[in-house]
Amino acid sequence: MLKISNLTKIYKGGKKAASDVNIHVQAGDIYGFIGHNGAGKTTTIKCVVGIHDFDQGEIFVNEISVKDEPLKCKEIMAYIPDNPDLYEYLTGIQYLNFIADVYGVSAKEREERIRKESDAFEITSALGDLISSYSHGMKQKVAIIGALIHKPKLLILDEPFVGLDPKAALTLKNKMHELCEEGSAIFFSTHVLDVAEKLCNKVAIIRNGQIIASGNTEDVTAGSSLEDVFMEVTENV
Amino acid sequence: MFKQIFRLCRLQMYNIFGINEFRHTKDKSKRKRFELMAALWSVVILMVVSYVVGLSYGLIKLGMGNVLPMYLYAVVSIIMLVFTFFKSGSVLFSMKGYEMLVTLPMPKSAIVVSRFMKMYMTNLLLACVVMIPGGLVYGIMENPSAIFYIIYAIGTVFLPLLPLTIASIIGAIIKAISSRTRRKSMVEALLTILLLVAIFGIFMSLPDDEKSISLEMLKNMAGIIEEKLGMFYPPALWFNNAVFGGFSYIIGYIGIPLVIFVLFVAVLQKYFQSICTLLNGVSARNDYRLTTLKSQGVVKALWKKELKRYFASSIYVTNTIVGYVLAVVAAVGVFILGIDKIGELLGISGIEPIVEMALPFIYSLLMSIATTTSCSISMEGKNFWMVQTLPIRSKDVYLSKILANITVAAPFYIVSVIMGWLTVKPDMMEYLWLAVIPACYIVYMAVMGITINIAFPSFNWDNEVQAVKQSASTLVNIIVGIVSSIVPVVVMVLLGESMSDIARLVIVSVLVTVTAFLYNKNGKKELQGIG
Repeated sequence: MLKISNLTKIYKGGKKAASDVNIHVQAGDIYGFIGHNGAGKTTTIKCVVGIHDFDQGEIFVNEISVKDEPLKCKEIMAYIPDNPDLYEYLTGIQYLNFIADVYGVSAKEREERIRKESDAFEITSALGDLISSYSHGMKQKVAIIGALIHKPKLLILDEPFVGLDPKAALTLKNKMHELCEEGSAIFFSTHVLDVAEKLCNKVAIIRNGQIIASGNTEDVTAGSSLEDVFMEVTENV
Repeated sequence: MFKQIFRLCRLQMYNIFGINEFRHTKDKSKRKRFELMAALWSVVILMVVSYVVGLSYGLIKLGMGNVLPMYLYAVVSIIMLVFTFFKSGSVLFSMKGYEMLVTLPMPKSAIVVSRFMKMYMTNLLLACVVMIPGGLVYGIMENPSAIFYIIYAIGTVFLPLLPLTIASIIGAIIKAISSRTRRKSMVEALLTILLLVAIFGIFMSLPDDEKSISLEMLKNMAGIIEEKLGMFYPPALWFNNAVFGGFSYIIGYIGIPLVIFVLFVAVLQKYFQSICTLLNGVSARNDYRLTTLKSQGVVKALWKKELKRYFASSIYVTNTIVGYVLAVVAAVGVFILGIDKIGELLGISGIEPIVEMALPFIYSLLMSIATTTSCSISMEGKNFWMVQTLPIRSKDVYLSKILANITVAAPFYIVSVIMGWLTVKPDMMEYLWLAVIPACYIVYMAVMGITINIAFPSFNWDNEVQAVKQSASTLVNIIVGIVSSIVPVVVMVLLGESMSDIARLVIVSVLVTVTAFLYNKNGKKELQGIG
């Protein structure tokens, strides 16, 4: 579903944020992307979702090149950033309606999905209020509902659990499993190693823009905890 | 407290004109943009300096050297007042950094003063650009004593204090009123525009008995200027009296503004937090029930979003709608006065055909001063990631912004054109040009605004004022708008009345061609490559 091949991204100042990154996320995968602050996680994600261009390599979403056909790729994926800066001058429902319009979701389908997801995240009653009145967690919930509105084949999340209350975090985890069971794939970055270990069937660890370990979670951890492995590889490699 | 004010001011200075970002950025294209911005500002400053030098020379040659300092002082003060009350409220009560600052151990007056000083520093630059060349011309031609220069320099340093304080008081009152309403931005924009129209109304209604200038009047002009400016803006007269030896007047033009400023800070610091809290507070009902939803096309959805964004920001509205409001004011003014009276007022007979010919271009000029598109990409700010990551064609994003600009301009355009039709002589061709030329300019400038903003985007702003008023994009847009609407008028005047229809047809054709070219060119620019 997502294939990142030899991705290299150099910022204009000369900093190499991602160097020869290779990641392969298949349908049904929940793929965790782990690394220190500034390791290159967000840069890699931003290259995938179309915020950054990149210098070398290729990115394919469902075998479609992000470089050649960005719109087709965007139509089948969804992205939630670490800090959901949404349109604060819109109400929650106006925002969701806007996103549904952009993805071409029919009126009936959007109604059903918004009802289902907003009830699950317990935010239906606040959808008529301006987003500027929302807390960080509420914005995060609306961003998640917006991302799920067109049933994406690939869901990309940057630190999705930051700001979510425990119940919403559990709901999101269930949604992630639900999506994967339906054949979608999830690629997300996180600092919370416990979550990654329990949730992900695959992980990749990035340091200084380079992937230093990747594969099935069980293979990467090899009986240790992900935290121990992470500390070991990031300090010794 | 002074130490705290100094620290906060230094913090504000880092952000002025993006100097700090320029010093530390490693991004070459960003550095180039800063350099271009600096070059543009240098050209503007050079133009102002040249104008002031010429004006000062002319006034001194006409024997009015003794009123030159007060004339410059008053003009700069009025410009500062008008241009600052648009933004003073937003700068003083900016929520950016407010929460961080109020939790630090510093008095609220320090926050107020530091925010005021940010406006003061930029306005001091304007004061220097006008007052220094004027003073030097006077010094070279009239050879005054050293004390003139000292008093003149002190006066220049204190010049921004009073207009900025008055503008801040107005801005604070508008913010205080609007903060108590549900639709804060709309109320604020409406109050600001009403105030602007009122100021223009006052200027226009000032009694003016003189129809034309005679030689006798010219001899007494210095006295007339002194009397009228002294009545209109007394600090200018006090400044004039002080530089020419009336040292006691220093108390007037320094002491009084200082006292007003201190009183303003003392009062505002009491209400500062409550106004900020009210402005920051958003009412939430939390009682929404999901009803039937409707689907619509992508461009329509983007266009509606764009209009919501526009009307949610008072700074955005007041600064970009002003040209359209002025076009209506001009159209109504010309209708009331009549074209023949314009010639009389200007003291030039037989000018009516030229005024009639220039009327569509006057509307166009006013409607080209500010466009909503010139900062519409910058106004995406931290939300820009959304249009970048959603499956939207960049072409549709630009189109929605152009359509929003046209939507905002449309009511003002319609009123101006109807007033124009009622003013000019009944002639189908004149009616046609009055409708077509401003329409072409609105679309041309909307597309041009996008083109300019693509070239000079600014997403990293703390306050909307920076994107709307202080960005390179806005400055370039103003220059292009003025040049684009003045050059055709000059060409038409040179060609004469007999060629006017052909000339206007050529101008419209050029506008349409350039607009189509830019629109197509912009459409190829991916959102990913902006910034």
